[in-house]
Amino acid sequence: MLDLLSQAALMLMRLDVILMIAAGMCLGIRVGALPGFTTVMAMAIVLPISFFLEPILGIPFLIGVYKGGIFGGSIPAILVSIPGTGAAIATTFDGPALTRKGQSRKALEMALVASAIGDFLSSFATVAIIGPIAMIALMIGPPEIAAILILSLLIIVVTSSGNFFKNMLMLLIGALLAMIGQDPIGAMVRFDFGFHALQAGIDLLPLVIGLFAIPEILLAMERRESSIVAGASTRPEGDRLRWADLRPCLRTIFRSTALGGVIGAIPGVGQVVAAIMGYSAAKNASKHPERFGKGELEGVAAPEAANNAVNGPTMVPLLTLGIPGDNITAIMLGAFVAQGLRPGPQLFQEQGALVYAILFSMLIACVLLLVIGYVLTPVFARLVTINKAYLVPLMLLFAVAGTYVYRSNPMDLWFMIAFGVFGYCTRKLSFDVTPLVMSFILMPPLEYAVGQSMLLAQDDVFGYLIGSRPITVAVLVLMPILIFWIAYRQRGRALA
Amino acid sequence: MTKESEGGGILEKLNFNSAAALISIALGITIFALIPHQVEEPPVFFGQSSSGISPKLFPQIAAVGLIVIGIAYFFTSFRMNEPNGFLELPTSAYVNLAVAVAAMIAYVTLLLPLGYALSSALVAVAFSVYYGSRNLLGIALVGIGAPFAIYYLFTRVLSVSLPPLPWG
Repeated sequence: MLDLLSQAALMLMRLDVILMIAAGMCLGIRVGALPGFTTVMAMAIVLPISFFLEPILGIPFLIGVYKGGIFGGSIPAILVSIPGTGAAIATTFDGPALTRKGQSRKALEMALVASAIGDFLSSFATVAIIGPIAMIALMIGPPEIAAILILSLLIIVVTSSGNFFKNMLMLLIGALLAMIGQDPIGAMVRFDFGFHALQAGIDLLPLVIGLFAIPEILLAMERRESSIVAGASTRPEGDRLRWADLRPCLRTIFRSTALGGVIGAIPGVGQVVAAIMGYSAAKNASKHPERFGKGELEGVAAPEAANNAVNGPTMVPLLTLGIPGDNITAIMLGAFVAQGLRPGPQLFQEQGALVYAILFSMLIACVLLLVIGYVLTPVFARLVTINKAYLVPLMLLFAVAGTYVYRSNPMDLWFMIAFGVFGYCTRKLSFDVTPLVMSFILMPPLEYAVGQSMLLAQDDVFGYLIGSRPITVAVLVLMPILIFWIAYRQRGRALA
Repeated sequence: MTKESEGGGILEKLNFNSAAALISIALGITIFALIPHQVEEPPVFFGQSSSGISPKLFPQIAAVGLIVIGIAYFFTSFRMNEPNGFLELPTSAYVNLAVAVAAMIAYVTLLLPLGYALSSALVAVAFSVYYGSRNLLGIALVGIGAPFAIYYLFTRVLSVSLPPLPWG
């Protein structure tokens, strides 16, 4: 193990790795700081760049975009009360009030420090526990994998925003899209409608770029708004953050980190829930809850630590079981697969040093977040308002280039546009595309695992499961209980 | 109280969610009907399938799921009063969207004949000007600088191919 870790550390002793993380982070903070543009969109657009770099450069680059984007969302949330990303929604509760008090610099620096601490600690915990989890994952077979995949899909359906039936509809559409091409067991052709190009199936890239980037372009085009917050002051003001300001918030930051870390390991829950839970927990624990919402520094620290603490643990189900927990890790999965790395327990056996090097790069990214954020936040803060007349065509240029280069197949571009229009319609009609993306990714391994399980069962499924697969039976029995409990909690939170 | 919740005929209760549910049911039935024609069967050796499950099984489950979920969604939709985002849009937004989609279609159509850089330059200038930019420097940067920079990034730095200019 120590040998593995030292190999991983050696792989990271390269200046280009640090530079790629830093480049990704600058890009992530920049996009995250733009209201209306999401981290997912930024990652979808730059995903193809990572395909053509070495894994040790490409994946840390995406990690930089991811971490930078989540923090970047807090900049407009604090300065102009518009969350740059969904993860920064809870930061608008106290951030703008601090800006009105003339303490925007302190609020921004608190957001940065809380994000970096939350992210670093949760990433460190991820590095520590992921190996043993992968060892356990190695012991499970196709029936357990099938049960876990079904459970993950159901969790994603009940935790996605919106109505259960709408989420199920999205899940089934994603499943059907994944079935176009060849079946994962016998490579039998399905739903090609006589088009040779469809026999290779639909690639993940046009799907994610279409669903996440093109709708942003169409939404921006609707009203052709060139500037989002005209006339607002986006210059950070007031004193810098001091140790005396930070010390009383440390307890809150650690609590939010723990909450965010646990939430991150659960598929489908994500940063928004973590940030709101972190904020609520801080308010409940405070001796002065009445100050929350009126410009309390703890009210910025709590959601920022929680939403960034989600980042590290989302990699646990991804790397150990190949299950992406959200849209961002779905894109990360695309990056791994394109590099010839199939996330799952075997990956730790085959490419252990590389996996740990990528995990270590998350820790480096946290340190870089602190440095880059400290230096560049004032610069990014002034760029909160940008002329979309330049940004929108730029996004389209990247989207088309990125979609085309992977397979050099013009059909992918038509898919990208079709998914883009579909994604735009889903936004307008309150459908969440997360279950669609997840089922598109998870359906082939699920079908494969079910096929393998049936072969193992030799026509006696119930006897085989009860006699030889107690873990599968336990997961299947506990599944409805867990799903109802999560749905009940979600409903309670929504009502609250 | 909304009109939907006051009772009345089924037609009065219909909304976009009801339409989506009906589409789901229709899609499920269509998929089910297509499966025998669009899914190949694996070869059978000594009376045994080599794959454990038929390649038709998962499509059949998805098709039945679409029908069942569609029916439940249809009856639930009567109680749903979510806003239809399309109804809030002014007519000008539809024009803007149509222009954007048409520009994207033209872009993809021209990509191979004109090459990435040239088709991108045309579409970037068109988007930027239509969006309202009148700054020549900005338009030049986005319309000329960005397409060639992206082309250079992918073809030279990342060593992958994008459609070249017509003259090579």
